[in-house]
Amino acid sequence: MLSPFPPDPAEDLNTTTSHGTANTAPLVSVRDLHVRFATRAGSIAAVNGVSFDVLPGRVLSILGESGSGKSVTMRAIAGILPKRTTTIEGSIGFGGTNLVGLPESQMRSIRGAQIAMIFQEPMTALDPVFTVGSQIAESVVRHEGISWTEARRRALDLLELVQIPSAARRMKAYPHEMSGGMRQRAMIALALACKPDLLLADEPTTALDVTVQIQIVLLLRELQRELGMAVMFVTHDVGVAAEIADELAVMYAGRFVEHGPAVDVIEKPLHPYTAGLLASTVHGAERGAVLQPIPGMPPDLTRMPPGCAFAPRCPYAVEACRAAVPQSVAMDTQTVACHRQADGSPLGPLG
Amino acid sequence: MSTAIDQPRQRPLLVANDLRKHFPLKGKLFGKKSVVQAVDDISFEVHKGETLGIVGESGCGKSTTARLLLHLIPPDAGEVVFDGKAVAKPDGITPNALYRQMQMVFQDSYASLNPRLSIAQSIAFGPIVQGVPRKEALDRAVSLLERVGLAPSIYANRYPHELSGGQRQRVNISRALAFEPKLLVLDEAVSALDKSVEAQVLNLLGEIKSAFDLTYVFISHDLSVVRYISDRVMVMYLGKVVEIGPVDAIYRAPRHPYTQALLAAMPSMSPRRRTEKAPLSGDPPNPIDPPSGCRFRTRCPFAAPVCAEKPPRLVTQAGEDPSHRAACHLYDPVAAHPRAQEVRHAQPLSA
Repeated sequence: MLSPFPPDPAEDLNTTTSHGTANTAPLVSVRDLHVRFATRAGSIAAVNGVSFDVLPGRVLSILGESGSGKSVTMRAIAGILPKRTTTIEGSIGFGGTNLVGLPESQMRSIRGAQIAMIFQEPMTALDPVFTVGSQIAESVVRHEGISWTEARRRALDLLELVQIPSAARRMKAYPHEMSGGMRQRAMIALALACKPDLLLADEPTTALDVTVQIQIVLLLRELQRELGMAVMFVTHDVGVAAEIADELAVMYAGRFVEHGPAVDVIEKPLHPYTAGLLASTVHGAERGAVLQPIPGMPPDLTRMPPGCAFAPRCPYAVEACRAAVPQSVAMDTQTVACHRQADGSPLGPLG
Repeated sequence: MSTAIDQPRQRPLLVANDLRKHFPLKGKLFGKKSVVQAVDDISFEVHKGETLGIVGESGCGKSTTARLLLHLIPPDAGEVVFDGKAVAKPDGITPNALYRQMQMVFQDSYASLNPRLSIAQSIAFGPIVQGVPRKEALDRAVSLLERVGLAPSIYANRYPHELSGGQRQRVNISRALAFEPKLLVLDEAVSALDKSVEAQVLNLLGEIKSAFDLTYVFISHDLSVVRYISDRVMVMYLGKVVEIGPVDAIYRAPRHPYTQALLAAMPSMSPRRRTEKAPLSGDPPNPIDPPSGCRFRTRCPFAAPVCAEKPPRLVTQAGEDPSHRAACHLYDPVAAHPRAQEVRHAQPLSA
């Protein structure tokens, strides 16, 4: 497939970056990120000290259940959390700029041009009263200042890039005239309009049927490789993460409990929560066998327990787990935030 | 486990005979009125003690089928026979009497409960309406709460908004059990839950099935969950049954090209074995004015002229389990499909 973008010599370097190469500067560098929301019910601690890097051209998938803070982390990077009720602490380095506290005018020129985002529901990104073609062209005109004629040509190339059949005709279509899968493709085309360095994907395949979901996952994988962009992909579905992620981070109660190469996290989980999550996923379970679910429920984010947030549900918890929040420690290729893995009596791979 | 296969001559608990439901759309000013052919002449049986799984993508008619089984909407044609008695027929069973023997659990656990009734009142409401003395109904509600793992002292007097999604679904299950029904229709009952909670509820469904001697119709879009819970599986596409059979036959040796594509579209769960190619392109067609003949032919890699001419019958294959049937001309000698010889002896197809 031909790229609609002019060739970029730096790109080859990015796409060939292998995992953990020390001399590649991270594109995204998040340090000790905290996000709190003020609500009538009290202050909700949605993200509680998250640190990670995303290297150029790599795919980081954040896996977690509802309320784990995975979407909030991503929205903090995109700078789209409601300003009035949100408190953000820590730093989000993006290409050398700290995005936390950046004035909205500067954020606006980064968002769309260098950082783009796609959502579960395409109608949150697409405007129902403009044609798909004009929306994509508008984004290019706004960020690159090229003529409308040229921008329309780029929009057409983009619709072809995301494999929308009869793209020329679809340029003039309104979002409601498209099927769910086509709309998802149009939203991806819009996000890619200015060739972002970082694509933030918030459960973009969750609402889709299984035969359409795999098409969109494969498309994103192909585009990511071809355009050499970094992707952060938030999902609750281990299977989808396994299809797309280079690296996998597992979130629980606003913290990364485990982070490492996707293969290793899935095949030898080190954190009891990761192991429990994989064990309670029905896939491959013996038919009719009793599943091993994680007992209990995630903690109330307005009243976080003092120690490890997973301790109340953890079969391995000891006194130390309830006393202090565990630090992330490196074990082999992974990092894990678990007192039991860190205190010199390793539990070894779980699950 | 599967009484259906061991005792084929036993009277089925539930029979659907040529059920049809078409929803008319607002007519255009000129031209003929369109109808959504939500369910089109489908027939199947549910045997006592088994779990029949129904899978399919959005618009395939699985939820309409559920509503038809419970007579929540009257069929345009065909009939439902429960325990030998036709529903809403002169010498059959009335819908009201049917509801006492057959209950439903929906996907949206919150919308299913009256926000102004406490949990115990919600569970007792139905039996009270049906004439059970108030005291007795409330006592039974308390013991049912205990049974589904919610301590009555804590939960009986709470309101739906005070409970988590998993807890609310437990309440919905105990409410369904309040009638001491013989059959539960579970329409995407675990689909909205997080994985760790889903596993808890699936275990609960397994427990109460044997404790209360129940039969399940389990509707879901999640192929892994259906495989886990079902004895037999029915696959639907655009209002038609495309394949039905024992769970292992459907998952290990699927016959219909759609079933094969659906299973191939499941994410691999391992980054080492990623899906290379999407088995189908495009979205499922609109159930308004579906394709003639076989409804899958517009996306089928095996489509031949005969597929457009007449709708396929559900056929068995010589020498194979007679309870495994697929609606595909490839397997029907009468249809003389040009590629029929490729699928003799039930070899898995590869397009």
